[in-house]
Amino acid sequence: MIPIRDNIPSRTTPFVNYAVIVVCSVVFFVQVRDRGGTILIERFGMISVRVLHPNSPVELVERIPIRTNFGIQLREVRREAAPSAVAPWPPGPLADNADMHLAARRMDAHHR
Amino acid sequence: MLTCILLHGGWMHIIGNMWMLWIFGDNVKDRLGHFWYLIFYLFCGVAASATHLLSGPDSTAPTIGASGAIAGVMGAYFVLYPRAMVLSLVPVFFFIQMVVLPAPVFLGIWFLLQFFQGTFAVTSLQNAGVAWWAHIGGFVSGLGIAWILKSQNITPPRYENTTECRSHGSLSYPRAQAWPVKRKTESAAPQKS
Repeated sequence: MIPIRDNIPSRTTPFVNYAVIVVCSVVFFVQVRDRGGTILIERFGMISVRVLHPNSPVELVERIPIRTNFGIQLREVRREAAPSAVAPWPPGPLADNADMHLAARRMDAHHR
Repeated sequence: MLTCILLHGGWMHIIGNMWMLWIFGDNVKDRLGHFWYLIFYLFCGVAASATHLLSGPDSTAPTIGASGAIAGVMGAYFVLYPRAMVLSLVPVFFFIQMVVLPAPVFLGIWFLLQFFQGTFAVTSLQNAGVAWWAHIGGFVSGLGIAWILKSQNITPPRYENTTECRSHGSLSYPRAQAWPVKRKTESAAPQKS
């Protein structure tokens, strides 16, 4: 269902609505210019794991089309998400040892 | 949890969200005022993000979109304008018809769709790329806040009790063709008096 309009006119100019629409549109155009906004989405989007474990790196699974002898196939690629632009919460009990395996794997990758 | 409500994933995503905000946001803003409407909008966005977080705390998929905050605005509209009518495009089989629906019916159907799809997404362990539970959380938080404000008489009724709204209050309001005709006669009435 798509609403067309309602029967209640607004009494005052909804400046806040206009402002929200303008801000979202500007951000979206920035996203479009930034190759689909992948980096922006990773930095400013909400990633549940990152909220609960702010100090741990986040691995994203992507399907990337790769040209092979049998045609174009989708391969799953794991990569680390861009760091959050928002300062993480102070480390506490949430940043526990459960995150360490990801950090260790990242260190392994650096060492190699 | 807050910055994600400024981002969108595609043209249809942002156009759909902003259109919903355009339709329902102005009337909710009338009740709350500019400042408190902005606070309300942001709060609903955070509540929607929190609900999504609870529905999938181990998810590594980035969540974006203003739909949770806008769902909160729709929830507030549900409470604050129970007699409003919404002219809607409704798909009936292969045809799309214009139907005038009472706002609670329109928003109720919308909410139930979100709820069932959200429940199905959880039970089937499949995610179609839509944060259904963020919509549900935003809607419920907006509805709850508006209900509290209304019960405390913090938001004075404006158009809700006017003649215009009462005349559209019947569930058997005819067809979309009658829409402009009805509005013309009503807008002419005050000039006569």
